[in-house]
Amino acid sequence: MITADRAALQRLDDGGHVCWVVGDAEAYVETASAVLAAGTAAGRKPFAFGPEGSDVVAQLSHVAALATDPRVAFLDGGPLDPQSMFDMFRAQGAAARAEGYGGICLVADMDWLLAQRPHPHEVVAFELLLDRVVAELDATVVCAYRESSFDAPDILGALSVHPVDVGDCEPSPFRLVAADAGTWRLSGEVDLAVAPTFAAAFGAAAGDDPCVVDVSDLRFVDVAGMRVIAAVARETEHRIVLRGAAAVLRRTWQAIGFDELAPTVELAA
Amino acid sequence: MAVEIAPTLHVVQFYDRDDELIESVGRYLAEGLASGEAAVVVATEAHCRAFKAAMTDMGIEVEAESARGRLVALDAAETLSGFMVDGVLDPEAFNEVIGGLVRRAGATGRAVRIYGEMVALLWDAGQVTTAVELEELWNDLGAHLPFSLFCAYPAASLADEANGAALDDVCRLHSDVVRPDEEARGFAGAPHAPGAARRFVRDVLARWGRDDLAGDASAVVTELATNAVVHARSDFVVALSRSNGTVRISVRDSSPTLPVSPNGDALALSGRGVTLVAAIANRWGTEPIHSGKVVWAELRP
Repeated sequence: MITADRAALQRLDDGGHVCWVVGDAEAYVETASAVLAAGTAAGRKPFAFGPEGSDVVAQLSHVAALATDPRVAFLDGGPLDPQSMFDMFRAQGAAARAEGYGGICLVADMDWLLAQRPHPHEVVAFELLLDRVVAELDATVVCAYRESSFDAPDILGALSVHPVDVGDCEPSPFRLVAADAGTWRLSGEVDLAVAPTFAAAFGAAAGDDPCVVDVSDLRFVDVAGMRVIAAVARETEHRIVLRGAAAVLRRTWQAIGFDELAPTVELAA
Repeated sequence: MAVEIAPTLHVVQFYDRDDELIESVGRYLAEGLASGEAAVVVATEAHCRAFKAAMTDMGIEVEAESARGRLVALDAAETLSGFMVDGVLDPEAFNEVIGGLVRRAGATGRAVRIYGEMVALLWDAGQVTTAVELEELWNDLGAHLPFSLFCAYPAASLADEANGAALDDVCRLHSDVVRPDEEARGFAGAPHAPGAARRFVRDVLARWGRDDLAGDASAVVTELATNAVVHARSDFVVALSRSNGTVRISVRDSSPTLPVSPNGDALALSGRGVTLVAAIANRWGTEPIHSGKVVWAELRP
């Protein structure tokens, strides 16, 4: 029986970074297998990640070229190290192409993160930067967050930095994802309720100098959100360019005095 | 651990037309039921039927909620006779009848929201002083039991000068007064409330053909709502009214502390919201009201 999630995942265009919110009733292995089979049929090398010793890894080893716990295989059992993970993805992507594949297709049961319990904001930062790597490699990466393993706020954080989501869940009020040519796109609404998550995501994006963010689809940002942008700018001292800033944002940024507080931030129409 | 209960809302609406009342009350009750609260309606039979129809239109399964005890509908005159003898209110009987009603509805720890017309019946029968007394009894009960109360009077009552003093009393006894030309909605003081307030404001402005003010209005209502949630830590009511080219937004909460402009700390966690309102609004102000305050802002294109 095809579930709604499986149908949605199989409908995805070639390539993409997906946040899959897995409900309790979902048959994870069946759906993951179907996604990996579709990836294989599309000429991609299939990978499955999951927590060490779990059924997931064992069962998906039949349909994946590599089924493993990345913490064990690539991080020496240590904490989440984003740079090591990105280097690994690039290496795996290159190896796959050398082997004649068109790219990689990964379904990751994110329970593998739980052994080291990273702070939810670390996960947000990691997923944001991973978004850029996935786009760069033209890979298909499905990050599966189980509702039984992750709190609602942590899932919301993950949703906020994936361009696509699948699953029966409330969408994140805002999204910050990788866009063309080393830029980012911020869309939706940012207010006090999501400010801490936004701070984690925006802080990671501002590793760029200059950090260029398309905000033409940012429907709303309140003073708390503006404060995050100003604080990140002051802390990193990087130039931050917000392109497509709405008139009310440009007006209020200046009226409140953020232009003086954070002079490296440029708001362009 | 001390738990702070947000002060409850006791709102009175003055309405022009019956359909305005039906829509307003229907939505008030439907939203309560949809978020797991119990809803108690004490109204005329005709109104009870109309409210149920309105709720059904809004997606509420009226029969099921009634069967579950989540929706309780009672005849206003009959209920009134349970604690009024020879035109005199009996406070003890009121507490027994109405208090019992509220306790049963909220038995499993559910929040209770009530719409009551008994006061309006008394007012229309010319028993204006008794209506005010009944409002006071509701308020006294509200000091002991948590519930939200919504009462409504026909707006024609406002015009009757003979009842001017009584009308002042009625307004004074409520945490919020909604006038016929206003659109208003109450929100629980929770983190997602400013976003919900924005959606409400955008909807109203769209219906008024004033999308040109949506950006400014969203910014203003968010800051005022955020202040209510974070500083006043109370439920709040957002009201919009219009005249000529101007739209006025007000946020009423239960804290008497007036907002102040920030002083100094550039990246302080609080403050600057008021600066934003001052920057965007044509005019703005704040006034204390019964057990709280209202902050209002006028917007022009």
